[in-house]
Amino acid sequence: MRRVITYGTFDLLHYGHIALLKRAKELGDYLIVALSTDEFNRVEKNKHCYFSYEQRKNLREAIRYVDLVIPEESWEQKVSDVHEYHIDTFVIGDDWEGKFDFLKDEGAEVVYLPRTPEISSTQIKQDIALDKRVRGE
Amino acid sequence: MEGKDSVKRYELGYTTGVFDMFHIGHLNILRRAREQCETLIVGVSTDELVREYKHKSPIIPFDERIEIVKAIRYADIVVPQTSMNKMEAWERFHFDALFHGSDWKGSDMYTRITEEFRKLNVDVVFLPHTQGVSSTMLADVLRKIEEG
Repeated sequence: MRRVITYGTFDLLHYGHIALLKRAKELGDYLIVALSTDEFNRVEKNKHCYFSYEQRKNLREAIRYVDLVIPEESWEQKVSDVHEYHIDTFVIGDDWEGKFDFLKDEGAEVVYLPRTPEISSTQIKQDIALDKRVRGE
Repeated sequence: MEGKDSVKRYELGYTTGVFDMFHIGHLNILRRAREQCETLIVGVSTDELVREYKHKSPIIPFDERIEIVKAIRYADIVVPQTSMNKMEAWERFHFDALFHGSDWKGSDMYTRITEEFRKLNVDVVFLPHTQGVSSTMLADVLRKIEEG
C-alpha cells in the first residue's frame, strides 16, 4: 500500500483543495492530510482561520479522497511524519517547489502539484471584498 | 450514531441546496441525511436557478460547487438542480425521503410539498441547522475582515 501525505491549513473549502486532494490520492492508496492546528497557524504562520481545527478536521475527514487527518503542530514534524506514518510520497502545491526536497533523504518521493489557477482562499476572500460575484458581474 | 450494519430508515433520500462556500453546516445536513438512508442523491442548484429565486448570484460558480459536493463521502449521487419543483425530481428519482434544513419548515411551499408527498408515502424530513454558521454569515465576516 502506497501512503501519501500532504500539509495545509485548509480553512475555506474550495475547488482548488478538492483538486489537490484528488490528485494526491491518485498518487497512492492511502492519503493522510496534516492539518495545521489553530496554535500553529497563529504562532508560526501568522494566519487567522475562520474555522477551528475541529471544524476544519471534520470537513477534511468527510472528503472521500482523505483517509486520515493528523494535526500539524511544527515545521519540523514532516521528517518524523515520513517515518512514523511510513510515507512513500510527500505532496504539496508547486508554490513550494524545491522547498521540501530534503524529504528525499528520508526515503520519500517528493511531488509538487500545480495549483489550480485563480482559485485560492485569498482569491475568494478578495472577490467577496470587492463584491464582484455577489452583484452578478 | 448508527452502526455500519444497521438497517436505514429510508432506501433513497433526496436533498438539495446551493452549497455556496461549502461549510460545516452543509456537511452536517448531508451527514444527517445519509445516516437515515441507504443512498443519498444531492441536487446542487445551478447559478441560473439561484438567480431566479434569490435574485443574486452565488459567490462560488456552479461548476466548483458541484465538484465540492461530489467529493463529500456522504453524497452518493450528485445532480444539478435546475428547478425548485420537488415533484419533478421525485418523478425522476422516486426517492422515499426528502431531506431539508429546518429553516424551510412551516413555509407555505413546504407545507404544500409535505401534503403532496404524504399521498405518495414519501416522508419530508427536516434536519436541524448548525448554529452559528451560514454562507451569508461567512460572506459578511470575510467582507468585514477584508475591509479591515
